[in-house]
Amino acid sequence: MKEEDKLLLLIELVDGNVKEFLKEKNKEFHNSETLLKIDDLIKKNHHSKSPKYLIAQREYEKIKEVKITSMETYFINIARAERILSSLLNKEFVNPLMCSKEEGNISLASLVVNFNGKNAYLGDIIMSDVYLDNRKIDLVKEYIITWRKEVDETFIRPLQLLLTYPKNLPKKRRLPLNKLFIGLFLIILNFLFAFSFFLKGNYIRPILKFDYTNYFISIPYFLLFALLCIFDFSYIFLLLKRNNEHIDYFYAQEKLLFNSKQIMDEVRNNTEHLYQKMLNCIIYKQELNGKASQYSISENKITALSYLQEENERPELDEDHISNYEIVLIELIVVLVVYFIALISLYQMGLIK
Amino acid sequence: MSIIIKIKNEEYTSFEEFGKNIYKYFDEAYKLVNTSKFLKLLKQENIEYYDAIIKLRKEETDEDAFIFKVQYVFCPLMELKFRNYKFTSLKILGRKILLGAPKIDIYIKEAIKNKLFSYYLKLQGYDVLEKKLYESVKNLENNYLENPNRCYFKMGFLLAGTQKIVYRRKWYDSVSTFFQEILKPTMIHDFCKDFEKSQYVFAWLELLGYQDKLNKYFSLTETEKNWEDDNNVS
Repeated sequence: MKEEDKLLLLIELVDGNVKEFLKEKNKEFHNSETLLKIDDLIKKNHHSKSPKYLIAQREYEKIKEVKITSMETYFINIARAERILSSLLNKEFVNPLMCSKEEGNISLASLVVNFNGKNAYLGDIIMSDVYLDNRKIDLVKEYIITWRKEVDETFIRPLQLLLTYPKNLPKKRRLPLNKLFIGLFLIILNFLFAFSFFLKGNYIRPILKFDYTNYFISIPYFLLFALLCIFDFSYIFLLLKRNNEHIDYFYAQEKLLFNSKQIMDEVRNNTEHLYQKMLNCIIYKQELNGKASQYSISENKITALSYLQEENERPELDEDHISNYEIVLIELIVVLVVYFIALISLYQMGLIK
Repeated sequence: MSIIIKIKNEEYTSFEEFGKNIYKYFDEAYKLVNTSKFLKLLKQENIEYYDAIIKLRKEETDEDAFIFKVQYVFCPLMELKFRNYKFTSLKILGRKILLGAPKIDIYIKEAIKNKLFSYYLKLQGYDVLEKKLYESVKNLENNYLENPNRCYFKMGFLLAGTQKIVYRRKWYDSVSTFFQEILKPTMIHDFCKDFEKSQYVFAWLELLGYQDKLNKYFSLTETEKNWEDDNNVS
């Protein structure tokens, strides 16, 4: 941080008269080396599913939009940017309440914490005879609060925001009602065609014979049969395609939106259990065993949250509108029903033998 | 019996005369006073001086503080003198500190660190005559280690009895006029160089009652610095 910036901050706090410098500071902030480094690291790791990168990415998107309106906001945002960069650079700092599969493989004892201004392994501090238990407990408390705060800020609060003020998060069913009805009709029609072969008095035989007297009834019969087959396949194909496209949404919806309370309970329980475990280790001089992932929200849920946030920002799509495919299908159903009624009537009138 | 004390080509015929001139050569005087020859002579000539100096030798570990106090053993009512400085009033000392700002005089700073001004004030009876000033000086000296540079300049303002800041020999009495002047392109770069290190402005602002603003300032700059340092290390 430049001394000049510090002076401007001091003058702003005491006298408040530095507006003429803010435009330049806004420019400096957005072209700062820190922001460029973050941008570079995020681009390099854009495939990563690590919560650290997802969080950093989200924070970076926000910080890019910031407008510097005072030296105070300048300093706050510089510190925010440095914090984001720090989280991207410090690979060894893992939050056991929220880590990726890969990060979660490290043991709790190997978690790196800052103690007395130096980085040290949590397990070493807990087992150390040099420090008083009270000091160790203070450290554990401090870290539990920090970790929990990070989970709250980056996971719980965004999730609550999605639940409270959703822009575009429709409740999507794996099989929506309109598609369910169409499926049922298709099944009925398939049965009808299958059943038509066994109509009493071999009604279908003259149609299958392709007798010139029955062309007017045989051709539509086969055409309709072919159409039905096409619709059967296309229906199955479209249903599978839809499910495939929305699989992430279904997962996110079921895991996060419908079960948000369980998730919050899970986070609370994990925090309490981890804190208790660390306290016990300090009090009873036990080794800190177990992996970091034991107390973490699963990576899938963190990815799902990012997915839902993206979805929420997309323009709304009406899932319930009737597609062209469905209109044609309904028309076919009507034609088939009319056709079968006509067929049965013609038999009963003795016009088909 | 007449005595002759020789120091740096100067000769003094009494301890009092010697005491009055110690400020001109602190280092040499320290060596001389600690010689067995000098102590032997002192014991012969004035046992009270001898006892006082022996007591000081036990109590005072810092050389400057020791020799400062030795000069007042010989001349307890002498004006403030040390390391070639002679101040006829405390106000002059205060103004010297401020006029030299943001530079810091290491001898004056050491004197504050060694609590010599409160020692001097007590000898002069300020602890009774001007109790408030005495207590303030003592308080500053006691808090020296919290922020030495800021303490140094606060001592300057206190002794000079002013709330005005002086920069490049120009006095300013209000925050806005001072900062307007500082923000001028010709001033800002020079001023910025060491304004935080010297703590001069902070001492002044604290004196004017801006402690809350300063706390906010340090909180903002410290947070940023900590993250920056972390990133530079990694």
